[in-house]
Amino acid sequence: MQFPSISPAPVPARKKAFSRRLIAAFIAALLTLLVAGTFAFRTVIQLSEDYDTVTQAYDVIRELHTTVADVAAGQTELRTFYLTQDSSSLHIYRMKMDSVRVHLDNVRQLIAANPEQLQTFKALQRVVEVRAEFNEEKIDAVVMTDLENADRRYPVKTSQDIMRRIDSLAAVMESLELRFLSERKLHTTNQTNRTLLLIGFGGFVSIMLMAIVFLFLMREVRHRTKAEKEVRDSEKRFISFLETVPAGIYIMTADGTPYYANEEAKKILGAGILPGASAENLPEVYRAYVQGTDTPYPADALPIVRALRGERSTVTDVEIWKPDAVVPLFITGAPIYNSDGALQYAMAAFVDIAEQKRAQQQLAESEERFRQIIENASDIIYRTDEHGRFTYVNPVGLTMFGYTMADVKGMHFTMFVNADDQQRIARLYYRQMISRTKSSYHEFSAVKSNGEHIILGQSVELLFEKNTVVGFLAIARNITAQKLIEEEIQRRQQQLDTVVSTVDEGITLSDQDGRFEIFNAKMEELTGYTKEEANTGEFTKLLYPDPAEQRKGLDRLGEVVSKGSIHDVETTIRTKQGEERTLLISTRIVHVKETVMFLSAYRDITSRKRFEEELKQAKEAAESATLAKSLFLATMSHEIRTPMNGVIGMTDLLMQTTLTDEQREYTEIIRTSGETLLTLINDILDFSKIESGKLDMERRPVEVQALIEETFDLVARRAVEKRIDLVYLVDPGTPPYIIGDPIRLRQILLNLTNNAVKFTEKGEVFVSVKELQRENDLTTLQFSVKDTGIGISREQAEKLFQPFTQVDASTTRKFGGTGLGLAITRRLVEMLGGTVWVQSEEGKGAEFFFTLRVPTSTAGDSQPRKYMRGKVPELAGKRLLLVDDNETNLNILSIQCTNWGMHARATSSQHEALQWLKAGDPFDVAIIDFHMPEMDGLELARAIRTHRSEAELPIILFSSSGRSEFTEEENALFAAVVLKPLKQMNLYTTLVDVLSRTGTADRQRRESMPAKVEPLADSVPLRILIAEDNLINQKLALRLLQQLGYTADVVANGREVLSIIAEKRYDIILMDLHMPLLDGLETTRTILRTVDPSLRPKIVAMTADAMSGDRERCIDAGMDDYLSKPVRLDGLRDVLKHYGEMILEAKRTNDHGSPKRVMFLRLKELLEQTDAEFMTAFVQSYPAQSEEIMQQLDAAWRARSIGEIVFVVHKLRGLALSFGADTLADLCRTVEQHAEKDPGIITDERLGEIHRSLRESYEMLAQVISDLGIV
Amino acid sequence: MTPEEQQRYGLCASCRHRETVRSARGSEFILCGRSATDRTFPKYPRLPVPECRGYEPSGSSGGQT
Repeated sequence: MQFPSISPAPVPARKKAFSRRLIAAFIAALLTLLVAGTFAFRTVIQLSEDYDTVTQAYDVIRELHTTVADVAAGQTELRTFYLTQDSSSLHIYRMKMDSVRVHLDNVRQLIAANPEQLQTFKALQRVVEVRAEFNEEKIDAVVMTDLENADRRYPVKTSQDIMRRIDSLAAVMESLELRFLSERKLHTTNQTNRTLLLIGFGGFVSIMLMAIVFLFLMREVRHRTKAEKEVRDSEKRFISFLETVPAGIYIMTADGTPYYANEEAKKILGAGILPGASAENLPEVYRAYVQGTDTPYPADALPIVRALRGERSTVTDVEIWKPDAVVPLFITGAPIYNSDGALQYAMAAFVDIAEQKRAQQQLAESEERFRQIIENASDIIYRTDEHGRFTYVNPVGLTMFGYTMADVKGMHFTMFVNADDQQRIARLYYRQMISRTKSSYHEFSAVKSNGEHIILGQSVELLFEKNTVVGFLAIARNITAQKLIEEEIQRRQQQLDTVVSTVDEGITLSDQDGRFEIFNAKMEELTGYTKEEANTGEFTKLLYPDPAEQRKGLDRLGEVVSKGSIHDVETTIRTKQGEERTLLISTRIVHVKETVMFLSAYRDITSRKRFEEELKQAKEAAESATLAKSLFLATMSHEIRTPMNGVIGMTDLLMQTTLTDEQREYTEIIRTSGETLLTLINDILDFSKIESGKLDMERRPVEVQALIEETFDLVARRAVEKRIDLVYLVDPGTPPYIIGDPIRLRQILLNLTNNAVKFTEKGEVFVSVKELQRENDLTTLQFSVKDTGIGISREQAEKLFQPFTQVDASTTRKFGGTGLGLAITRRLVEMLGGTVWVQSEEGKGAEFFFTLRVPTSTAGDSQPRKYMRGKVPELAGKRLLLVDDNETNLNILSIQCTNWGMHARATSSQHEALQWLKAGDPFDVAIIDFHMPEMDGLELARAIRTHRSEAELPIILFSSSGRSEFTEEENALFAAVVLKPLKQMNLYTTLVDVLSRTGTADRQRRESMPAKVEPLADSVPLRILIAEDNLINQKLALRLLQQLGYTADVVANGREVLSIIAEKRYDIILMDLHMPLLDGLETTRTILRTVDPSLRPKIVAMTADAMSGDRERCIDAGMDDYLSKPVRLDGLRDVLKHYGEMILEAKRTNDHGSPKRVMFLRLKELLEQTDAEFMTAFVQSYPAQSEEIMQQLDAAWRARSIGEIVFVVHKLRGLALSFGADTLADLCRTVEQHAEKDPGIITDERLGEIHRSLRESYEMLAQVISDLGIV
Repeated sequence: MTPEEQQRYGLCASCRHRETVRSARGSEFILCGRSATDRTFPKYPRLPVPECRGYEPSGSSGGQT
């Protein structure tokens, strides 16, 4: 391929003519100039010769003049010498003469060629010599003689003649020379004129010729400019063409210098023409390597370099290492010649063949894979020619049939086919070829070389070349095993069909469109529809005529889709016959041939449902009956309690009268029987309430220790009677306060403690409590009630907490009880989030445990009991002697006293104690038990007194009874008597009291037993109104009041109350809750609304209602206190005393009802119960506590949380009541009562009232504590 | 030959070809003897003579220096 030239297109004929003309013009001009030059040269030569001649003539003339002058000058010097005889002048003369000789010699040389002059010169030369000789002789004469003499011999005239002769000869020579010069001048002038003429002519001719040449050149330049432009345009077109070539083009000039690289070349090479690149270093510059190696490609082998040598070449083994890739190239190179046939450029064209290489590689790999597939295929693959003769059989085919390629090549493909099938198969394939059916599949029996028969499944593809069938390609597979499996599947399908059709559950398999593939016979039986009927697409509608049920059916399907399955979902369908059937449906998603299907099983539970419904109805009837029973019991219990109140109350009153012993005994029996009956009724009532779900638990702060002590109070009498010690221990880590229902907690503890006392004949009942776990505010407490009683067996223990169960009948007979106690206990404990259990061994006592999971309370934090605060200054360091035969008691006493800072020394032996005293061991106080073996408390006290006086060692007796049992002498032995069961507060106050009195002679005798109550009416006169509808209870109340010295007015309902208080003033109303016309609660509310607070009587509820929340309901209604029926004298007395004193104090100060007075009385009462130190801390805590609560209230109000507001206001009311800030408490109560029903009651103004009231309470408190002298 | 002569006549002071001529007017001339035979030698050389190809110290037996 000849590459286009990028040089201008030559025009040979024109170029030659131009050259000839140019040369001719130059030759002509040259000849002209040569002729003119020659003439000029000759003239110049002539002129030069003339110049030399003239110059020589002038030289001769100048030399002659010089000679004459020097001779004259010498003569002058000589004359000077003659006159002066100065040798210097002589010397100058001689120098002049030497000069004369030199000049003469010059003249001689100048005129040597001029004979005419030469003759004259000789004459001149002789005369000069004569002159010289003459002078020498005269010099000698002068030196030898004198001047005169010398002049005489050598006269001046001679000398002058000689001189003139010299001048004359010199003049002749000069004239000759001048004449010669004149001649030369004329000649030269002529010569010059001719030369100038010739030069002018020659110049003119030359200029003309040059002008002609210039014109030629100009024309040529125009031609060439045009041609060059064409070349440039051509080049541009060419380069544009090269830029579009989809290959890299790289051009070098003939000397191997890079000349051009197109954009594609730059892209492929990663650079254009690089500086310093040349034919020798192209591989290095462009990082060209032999493909697949790191050997730089030889520069000489590059096509472009070979093109520089005139070779055309192509290479494909070059790769360029670019920074980001290695690019394999296909390069072809070719030389480019100019019109003269000389190498002008070398060009290389190259393309990136990476893709091509990859494609080739992929093709090769693909072919290899294909070959591998065919070679290693598990199927038989073979190819035939158009006659069905094998041209190829893959190794699997050969191996399978036991032949080699040589065996089968050229053989007909039916050689593999079993003889029975050969004709059929041959026909099939010839038919396929004739019909040109592209592909087909057939199965046939084949036979191996060893005679074994197999079944082949064969696909045949016809092979075409130029639309002519040239054979076929067959892929055959041994499907013998598959055929066997298919037969097995068919067999199993038949089995499955049999199972599905005979199973006793409806089975369906349906697709997502609701079409059933399986719809077994049982399903047809259940629904009454056949499979075909079910597949109408309306099956759901048929089963569920109700649209709502249809939706449920669809929802179930959705659930199956989302969850994957559903199990035993109950549904009711309507059969084709119109019956309703209840079915249990289980459905799961199954994938059948990649299709999602639903497999469902339907079980008919219609009969079962019917049975269950009957059962349910029966159960509900039974429960209803139970509920009715419980309600009946609750109602009956209440009704029974009312007359019981009369029985017991009247018995109490009867016993206050004078009775005979027999009467007293009978009365006692009545009272005991009544109380037993009441207990039974209470138990039944509680159990009924629990069973009927009507028992609600209160949530109030409960002091754990007080709970135990109060419980002990209730069982103390019986324990004392049986001489059983009641001991308790509160573990130090136990929270002092919890939130719970105090009544129910006490009931639980009382039940267990009561049982423990009941079943213990001797020993102790020990109650302990400890904290098991604490999570934030939630605590788990474990209570234990341990006795040393008869114990119970394991079998009995299992039945213990069942209702109406006692250990055995004999127990009931012996100990009484309903058998409900522990059952109630268990239910109550469970309601409080705990469990109850027992550990026991028959004959060795029992230990009952119960746990409570309840919130802790900080209720007591603000007023901690001093005796609960650990070390106390009054007792710290005191030495205590403890003597008790009961180890438990001893331990607890020891622990508690040590906790207060005392040094306790404990012993169960009286003798050891006495020995200590005998030995002089120091003790500040002694506590001794009364009931001790060998030596009781009295005897021990007497023995102690033999060693220590009363002043030296006060003795506190620990006794189940008070001082009343002792004589005065015996009482004098003891500084105090502490009653069992031991209460920490009692022990504490007694110890403090005894130790503070130590040393005083007049020691006051104290005991912890409350003082005997005197009739109140004398000290606390009150106007009392009884509101009670029951006649017996009216009489009872009147009688009880009478016992206390009071009389009272009686009314039978609330309206009468309102009526009578409008006319008459009362201090206290004892108000029954259940009254006709207007009940107690409503009456109270009316009183609160209508009566001036300062005039309002105190209202104390009296009711047989033991239902949960009764107390709260009373207080909430505005009542001041609560008495439970049957009303006991003590309870009534306490209430009357409490309010009576309050009223009395108010009356006494003539300021009753004023808030300040109320607060004064409240705090005074508290001060009496505690001490100044506690009160100081107590009142000081009021502002901080109340402010904190107010902040909570404000926050709750901001959050508009009614529940929170009620809760906080309740707290504030509690605090206010503690301090007697009743006005504040009333405000709080109003909010508390009405907020939930009427949230509008809570306003900014009302909260402002509470704030104001609180501030007023601060001011009052400051005055009151000042009046009380607390601070 | 005194140093003054040496300074005044140069080589001629010690040359054997020197002849001293005194004129009537009392002038004293150094006459080079060699000028009598060789006219290239000045008869009355200019004094002092610093160099001379015909110099021969007085007292020597002949030959040129």
